[in-house]
Parts: sequence; structure tokens; C-alpha cells
Amino acid sequence: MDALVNIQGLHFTYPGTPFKLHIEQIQLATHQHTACIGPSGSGKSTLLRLMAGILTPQSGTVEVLGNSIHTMSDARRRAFRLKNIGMVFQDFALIDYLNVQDNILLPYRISPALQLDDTVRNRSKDLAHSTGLGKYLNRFPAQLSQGERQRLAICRALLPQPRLILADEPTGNLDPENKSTIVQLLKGQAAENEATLIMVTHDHDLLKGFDHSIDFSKFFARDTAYA
Amino acid sequence: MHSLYLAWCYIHYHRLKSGMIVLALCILLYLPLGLNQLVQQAQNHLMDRAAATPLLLGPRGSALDLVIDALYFQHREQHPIPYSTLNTLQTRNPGKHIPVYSRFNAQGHTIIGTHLEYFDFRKLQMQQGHSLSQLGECILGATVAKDLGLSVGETLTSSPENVFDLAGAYPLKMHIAGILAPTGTPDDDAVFVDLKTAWILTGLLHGHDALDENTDKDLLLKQSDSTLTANAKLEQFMEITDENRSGFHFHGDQGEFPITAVIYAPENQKAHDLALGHYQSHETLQLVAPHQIIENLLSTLFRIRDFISAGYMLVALATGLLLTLIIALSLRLRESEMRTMMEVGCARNTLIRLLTAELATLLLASLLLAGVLLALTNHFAPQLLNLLWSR
Repeated sequence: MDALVNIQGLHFTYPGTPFKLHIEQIQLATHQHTACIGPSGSGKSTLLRLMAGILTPQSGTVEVLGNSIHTMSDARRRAFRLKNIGMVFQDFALIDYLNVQDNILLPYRISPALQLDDTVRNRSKDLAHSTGLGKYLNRFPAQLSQGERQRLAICRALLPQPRLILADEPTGNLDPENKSTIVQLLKGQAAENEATLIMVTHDHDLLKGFDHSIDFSKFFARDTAYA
Repeated sequence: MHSLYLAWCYIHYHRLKSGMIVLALCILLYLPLGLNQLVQQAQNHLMDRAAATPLLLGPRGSALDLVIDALYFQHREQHPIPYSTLNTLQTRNPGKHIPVYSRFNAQGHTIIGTHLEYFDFRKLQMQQGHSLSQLGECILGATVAKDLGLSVGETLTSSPENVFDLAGAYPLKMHIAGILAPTGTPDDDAVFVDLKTAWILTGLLHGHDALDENTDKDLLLKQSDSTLTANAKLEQFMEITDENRSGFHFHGDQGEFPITAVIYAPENQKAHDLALGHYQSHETLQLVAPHQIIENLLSTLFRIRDFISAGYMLVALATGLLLTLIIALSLRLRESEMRTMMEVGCARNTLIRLLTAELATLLLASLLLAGVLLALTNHFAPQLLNLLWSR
């Protein structure tokens, strides 16, 4: 199997808390969509952050696209993430003083690893139009609805055309109609960019369209490899 | 460039807060520099006039009052000196001798009785009209003409010293012969008349209907075979016209008539030193070098300014600390935004660069605003100082 993500013997704890995450092995294949489900506090979001290189495990390895991201320097890991991993945060992680257009372009403005040019600008506008934000380019996050903010966060994650899309409960704050729209949007964009999607969710109804799921409740019962 | 752009986005989004910080920093920067500039110009303004007046002869007493009265036309109560003083000075000490008499005013503007040499000595140019040629004429400084809305050919009446004193100085309707070009000096705020016209204001030189055997007895103080002496009830002319000009006359010795001071420009250093020596121990008169008097005054004022500057530095320090606290609190409030930035992929260095760019932009905007205010202060300082002097 052509593994996009390969996790081996991972141990992670938040210092000063009883939280412990222990994963013997996980391998996720390219171009497949995986859902992570499980109760709150079971480590779904933590796993996504470990895969994105935002958190560093105490032991074990996390390989993405064949690169062990935790052995990279901070700068290299950050550049690798911005180029190859698109992260959609649960709380959207939008900057309130930047308008829709500038929020989408933010990764290009904060990292020398990404070059902002007219092609990128045009792509950002296309993305905004394709997600229904085209007419709101000059609006600020505070002027958008929850669904629009979520779409904005997705646009920002997808702009660098990442190979891996990590979505942390992107439907958590949305009504059923918007939930379905957002999931379809993520899947559609992932397919269009030939990217792999890993999505954390509480909603079992959304599992239908995914190739695999990781149940963190089982996962906690015994350390296991999945997929 | 991206840091600057993002900084600008933040500042623009929080424009009210940013504007207040810029304003506070601007005031902090502008106040000491602007005040210093104004004080410097005021110093030059005072010193230029004092330096252009080599010596000043006046009554013994406060040298500062003498200089302020005779050079800056801010009236001070002091004894006049007799006109004969000018003649004595002319006889003993060669050079230019210009009398100044500054007792009266017209609608708040000091009337300066002097000789025509004064205009050459101060290099005053006529903007309209001509110089003084007849009794009862006056020349207005530029500010007076502007403030009172007067022009050549109109009249200006002097203000009476006391409206209830029937025997006192009467107001005189003066004909405006000319208006001076603005100079940015106290001359702009003065009304110039010939010394004799100034004496008419005192009543020493006067005109009235002729006294003869037909004159009402109530108007006579005493009568002898050859002379008639009028009392204070005799009405004096309040305007000098072509018809009554020749009837103006004075009684007594002109040498006893009052003047405030004599501007003396010695012919050479020897005359300068001799004059100073002569009046050094004079009982009733003093000869002073105005630039020394003003220097002494300024050195006293600068000592006060130093105290004010020290006080300002403390206020600036307190304001600076307050601004630092505000910025620190603002950073704390922005903690979640910074965390978000780092989660999105912003390096710590980039974040620091971004915050630095924000602060630098605010500081630059404050500097620019303070610079504009300084330029405006520099440009309008003469007008501002004139306004202050005329108060």
C-alpha cells in the first residue's frame, strides 16, 4: 500500500494532565478519505495536530509523504506543512482584521516557503467563488455567518493545493444543511486536488461517504493499528 | 513587505485605537520640540529688536520697564523725562537721537510720539499713503490697520485717559496719513504720530478759539490790560484742520515737555563708551544697552524653562510608561490571535516582525504628524508671537 501517513509507536501526553495517547501503528493510504470518530477527549484533534507537526510526540514517529516531520527543524517543518498539509481548524482560526481575500492568502503572507503571485491570487478568487464566498471578498470574518466562516477556513487550507487535508470537526458548529454542504465541499476539493482527506467528527451520519474510519473509542480500548 | 501589509491591515481595522495612539505619541513628540521652537523664535524676536537698538536713555528706575515700554510698546508706569534731555544728549554725544513718547493709546493700540528718523532707523516701509507731514496726522502699524479696518484718509480718535477729568487730556481725532508694511515687530501694533501731536494729546500743545474782549467772562481765569487767561471751560479743538492748524500753540518751555525715552545710536564706539560713562551715575536718568537687559530677562526665563522641561520629561516618562503598558495589555489581549497565527504556520520571528511593523508604522505616522505640526509652528510662529505680544 502506498502510505501517505505512517505512524509508528507514537506516545504523546500533555504535560501536567492525565491525557495519554498511545498508537502502535496507523497507515493511511493516498487519495483515500478517512473519518476519525470517538468521544470528546479521546485524542482525535491531538492526532491531527501531531500529523500536522503542530504538536511533537514524546516518542515514536509520524511520517507524512515519506518525511518524518518531527525530526525536521521548526522552520522546515513549518514550510513542509504549509506546502503539503492543509489544516481546517475546529474554531476556524481566522484573523479578524483581515478580509476574506486576505484570510485566504494568509499562509502566503506569513511564510517565505510560499510565493504569492497573480496565479495564487486568481486561484484564491476561484476558490472563493466555488465555495460561494466570491461576493464577500472584502468582508471581514465578523460579517460572515458560521457556515461562511467555515468555508473561508477551508479555502485557506486548500489554497496551497496540499496533498493532505486535515479537518478538525469542520461541521461541529453547523446546522444539518450546512454540515452536508461542507463535507461535500471538502470531499470535492480533495478529489479535485488529488488530496487525501482526514476528518474528525462526532457525527456518525457523516461517515457514509468515507473510505475508512478510525474509532477512537475502540482505539483507546486497546492500542491498535488501523487501515 | 507582507509584514507591512498585514500591519497596515491591523491598523486600518482598528483605526480608532490606532489613531489615538498616534495622536498621543505625536503630542509626546511635538510638545517639547514645538515649544522649544516657539521659545527660540520668541527669543530671536526679542533679541533682534533689542540688538537693533544700541542704547536707550530714560528715567532712572527699572531698566526692564524702560526697555519694555520704549522698545516693545507695552506701557509701564514710569516718570517721563524732559525733552531737553534729548537736546543735551545731542550736544554731548554724536549719533542718532530719536525720542519716544508712549503715554497714550487709541482703541488699545499704543500711540508713539516720535520724530521722522524713527521710520528710517527701524527701516519701516510705507504700504499705503505717505509719511507724517502735518500736525494731527498719524501712521498706523499693519496690525492696527487690519484690526480696526482703517485705511488712509480715514480718522482715528485717541482714547481719553479719564472721561470724567474735564481739565485732563482730550481725545484727538487724527487723520491717517499712511499705513506701514508688516514687519512682525511691535511696530505693527502701534500708532505713530509726530512728537508734537503727542503733546497735543497731553494738552500742553493746544488750539482753541481766540480770546478777545468779546470772549464770555465765564471762560476767563484772569484778565489784565494786555493779557487774557482762559480757564478749563474754554473748549479746545478736538481735530486739527487746515483752518485751525495755525492756531495751535503751547505755553511755557518746550524743553520741559515729556518724553518716555531717547533711542541713541552712537556715531562710534568712543561716543558709545562716553555716553555710558556719563550717565552711569546720573541722578535722574539711566542709559541702558537693551540687548543686555533682554539677555538677562531671557536667562531668567530659560532657568524657568529648564524647570518646566524637567517637569515635562517626567510627564513624558509617565506617558511613555503608560503607552508601554497599553501595548503590553494589547499584546495580552491579542494572545489568541497570535496563537492562531502560529497554528496557521507563522514563525515566531515573523510574528515579532509583524508586531514591530505595526509599532513602527504607528511611530512613523506620529513622527510625520509631529513633523507637519512643527513645520506649521515654524511657518506661523511670527503671527502667533505677534498675537501673544499684542495681548
